[in-house]
Amino acid sequence: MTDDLMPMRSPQMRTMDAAERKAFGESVLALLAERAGRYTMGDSGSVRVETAKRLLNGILYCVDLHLRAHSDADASASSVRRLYEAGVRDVERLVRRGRLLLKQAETARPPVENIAFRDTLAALPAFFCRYDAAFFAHEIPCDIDYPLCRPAAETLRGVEYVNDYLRRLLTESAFLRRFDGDMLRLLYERYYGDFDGLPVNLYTPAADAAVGRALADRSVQRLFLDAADAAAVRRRFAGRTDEDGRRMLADAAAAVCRELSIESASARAYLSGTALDLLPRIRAAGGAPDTGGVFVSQNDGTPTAGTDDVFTDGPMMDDESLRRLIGRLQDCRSVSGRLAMVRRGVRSLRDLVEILDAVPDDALHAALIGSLDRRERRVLARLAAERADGGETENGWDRLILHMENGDR
Amino acid sequence: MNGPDEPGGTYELSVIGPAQRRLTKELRACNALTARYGLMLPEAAIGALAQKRADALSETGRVEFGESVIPKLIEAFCDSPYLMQDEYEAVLGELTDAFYYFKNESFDLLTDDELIAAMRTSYDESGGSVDAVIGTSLETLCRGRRFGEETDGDDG
Repeated sequence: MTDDLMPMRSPQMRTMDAAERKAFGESVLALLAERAGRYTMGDSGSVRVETAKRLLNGILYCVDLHLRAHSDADASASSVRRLYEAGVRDVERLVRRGRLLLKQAETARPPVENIAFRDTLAALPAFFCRYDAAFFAHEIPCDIDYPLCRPAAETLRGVEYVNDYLRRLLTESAFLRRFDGDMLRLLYERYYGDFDGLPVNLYTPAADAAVGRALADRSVQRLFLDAADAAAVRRRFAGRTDEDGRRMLADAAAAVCRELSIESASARAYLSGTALDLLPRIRAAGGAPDTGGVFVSQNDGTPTAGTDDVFTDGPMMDDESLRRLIGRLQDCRSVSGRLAMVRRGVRSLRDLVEILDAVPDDALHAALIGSLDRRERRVLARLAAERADGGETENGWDRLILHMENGDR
Repeated sequence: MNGPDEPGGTYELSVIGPAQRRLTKELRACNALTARYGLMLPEAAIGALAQKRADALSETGRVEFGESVIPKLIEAFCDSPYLMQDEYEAVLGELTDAFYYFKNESFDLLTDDELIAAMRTSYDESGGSVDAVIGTSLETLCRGRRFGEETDGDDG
């Protein structure tokens, strides 16, 4: 049974038998014909298949949205039009809510921004101008380039996605507003290098650093860890199980929230989730003296002599896992979502090279390279240079890393 | 678009079936109008044209809701002095192809009625040449529309 004509996320659909589903699908088709006529304003009896699919998805999205929000709603075939119209009204309410969220995001900006952040906030008003609740409520008619630390769910569509994105953005901005702008700028420069020009997230380095400071029992207001702090963190994790590690990270996130007076449950959960993502990175860093670049140290970030020589790659993924990850990256539409997948799954620069080669997307390349520390970038640049010297054609990421490294020098 | 209870089957089966039956009925009704111009579609031609419409929609990647365009084409072209019974079915088939093709080419900026009127003008001006309809003047018209140029002399 295929379900192209069913709003599949609604719980009501699961209880329908085959006959009810068929009747429901036919009602949806009848509504589609009417909506197509309305869309062409009666000027055309036919539309492109792509347009018909967009119209169909718009109808299903509205029906699904209403059914999800109203579990007691009648989901029979005879109610399809009513469900659709109620769904459009639901969407319009979400749009009004979204406009308020955008106003908040425009007002409560973080102390330091980058181009991707500014471009995204500048692009979001266009979403609310172009968004068509009546015909294409499932679409997101604007470019959202700024990657979040914890991306909005890929399953969300239309205004639901944008509202969730804005809520997350507000959470991140509220956190960053608790820190001094000059200190954040220094942190970003050490963490990313050209943080302003790269499509990189601004919350992650600050959240990681604050959690790191809390793990070292230091005040979180300063965002750098010295060697003693790193050693303290290393000692805490040595010989502990993953469960212990997760608990320590959750406790550290809670300590950060206490010190920064973060009361909102969603903001606390957001930071806690971010902190838990640190566990595999701390584990992969093992006994590295500065916790393997997980946290930013207080030195000026200039690599010391021989730094490249002591670079140790993390554990590689098995081929099947790598293939699956590449497949998911190719399917995923947002840069921030793909960046999060790589951050969660990849521990080895050799795996990263495979991914950069297999997923030819300039925005993803820039985001991935931007998320590396200076030592990792230098090793990657050396690899790109070797490939170029060996006669291999430079692709997008080769050129980008060489340009960045040559520009940095 | 797949059907709700037919694994791998297409929903077109349940959409096209009724649509073809409706079109067959409409084409039979058209014979009453065109008889006065000496044009008739026999049953075999009616079935073939209904299939032609389905093929043309599929080839041009379009979906048609409600009434088919073929009766509109018949109504618009039946009084053309160049349309003869011996080529009636073939010309209708080609005009159907051309109609959907030009709908796409014009990015749907032309309404059905505008496009049919342009096709009729082109057909008559070229002395009843379907080649001319497809080849030259209509493409020029579509290009003008696509780039937002006015084609109506009164406005320009």
